[in-house]
Amino acid sequence: MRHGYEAKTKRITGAVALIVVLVLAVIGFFIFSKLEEEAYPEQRGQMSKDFGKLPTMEYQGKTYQMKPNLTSMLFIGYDKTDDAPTVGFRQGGQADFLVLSVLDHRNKTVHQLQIDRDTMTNVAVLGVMGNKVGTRVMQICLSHGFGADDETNSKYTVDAVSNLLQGAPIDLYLAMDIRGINILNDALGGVKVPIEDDFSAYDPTMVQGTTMKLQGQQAELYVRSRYHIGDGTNEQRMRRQQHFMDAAVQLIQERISAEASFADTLLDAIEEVSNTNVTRGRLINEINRAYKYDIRPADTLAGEYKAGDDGFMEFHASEESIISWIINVFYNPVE
Amino acid sequence: MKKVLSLILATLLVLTSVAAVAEALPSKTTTDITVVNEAVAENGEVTITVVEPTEKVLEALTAAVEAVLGGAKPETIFDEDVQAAIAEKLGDVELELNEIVAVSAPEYTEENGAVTAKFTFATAYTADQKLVAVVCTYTGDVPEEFVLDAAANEDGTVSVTFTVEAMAKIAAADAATLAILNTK
Repeated sequence: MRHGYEAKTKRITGAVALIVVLVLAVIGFFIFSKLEEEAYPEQRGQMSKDFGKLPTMEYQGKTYQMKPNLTSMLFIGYDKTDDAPTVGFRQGGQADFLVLSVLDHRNKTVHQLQIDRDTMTNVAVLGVMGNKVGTRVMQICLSHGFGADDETNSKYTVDAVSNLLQGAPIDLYLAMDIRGINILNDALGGVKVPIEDDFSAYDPTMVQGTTMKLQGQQAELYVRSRYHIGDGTNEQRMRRQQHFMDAAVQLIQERISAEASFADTLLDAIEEVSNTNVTRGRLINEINRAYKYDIRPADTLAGEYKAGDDGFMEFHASEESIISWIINVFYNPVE
Repeated sequence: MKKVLSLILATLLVLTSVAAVAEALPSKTTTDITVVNEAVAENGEVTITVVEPTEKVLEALTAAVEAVLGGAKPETIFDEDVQAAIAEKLGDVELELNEIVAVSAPEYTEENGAVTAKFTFATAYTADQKLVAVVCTYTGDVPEEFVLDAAANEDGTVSVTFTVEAMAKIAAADAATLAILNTK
């Protein structure tokens, strides 16, 4: 009898101990969860209210809904030579090359918009000490000038482009300084382009009317220079940039088809002269997806070139052209 | 016939001049953001231009930016006499320094007298803000500093009144800067 009593006591004690441990574990779990929540508060939006709802817009009496499954990426080419004098928060140079690529993963297309660096738009301005001092309408390329580091410079450029495009979302960016042009060209083994303009003032081997593979400094000369080349306008330079882009994209597609790790190789080549807001892995994934898509030639906005009061070139994009492009690329009509 | 030829020639002239304008028009860079809209002297014509900062000026500006970012009040980058003069003009208020540019006026002579110049800066000042300008000239080791009257105009431009002394120093100096301080 005594033995049975002791066994029973042991079982009860064990059970109670187990219950205590379980209760303590549960309490501990809730305490830990609370501490973690306080350390890393979850961003609560209107998920429960708007879950599954894509943004809509109204235009000329019609309703449009944003396409699902898009990734938008801004490519920024900026001109900021190392020996250029810079001060404080005005040291980013200019974004002379701007292309917004919108990857439509459902329809497997890539739409591109090449934006003239002289496009007039609202640009957020920083004082030389970094104070936010409002906005000014100025050439969009100047947006890159504000900020004390590459990341901020790029952020201001992304914001300016998004503002120009009526708040269109820009998920990612990849910014590269001018040193990257020749590096990119070399990594691709030389990009083949038509020489439509007279380059004799700079390089007599770049013969007008021929097609040639750019080598060495020729790539930078082709896409960056404009004075004493053709009519000297940025418009003509943009056409050369488009030729370079189209050819480069085709080369990238071919190289990725032949060599699965080429995207990685390319990003290695430009790493020292570029900055981005996306991880290498995500960038490679996006490139590897996009290269198989139908990549459309870049569009440009309609508008008017004119001389500003300060004597500098201005491009005034038509609002209709902007909205039309946004609707065509970002939205579907709601039936 | 003469009329037709004249019309053709005139058309050709217009077309080539448009092309020439299009080609000649420069593209704006960040160093072009500040514009000197006009400079009106008491006598004769004067030009004030915004120029690239020299190495010495860059060093001074970089030090100034570091000081302010480190917590110093912006007016303390100038010497005490200048700080007192600023306080006299604006009162004992919190100030911001948003614009510093290198300027030049090599053709100025004292015969030109005082100069009122209008600037468009990247910062969009408003007419209700109180401003003051400080000119620093660099020749030799010690910069000379001048506090000048400045005011924001309705159109967002800033008018600065350059005294004869300040202008003469700018013209003679190796380098000069113009800073604009404003009330918050």
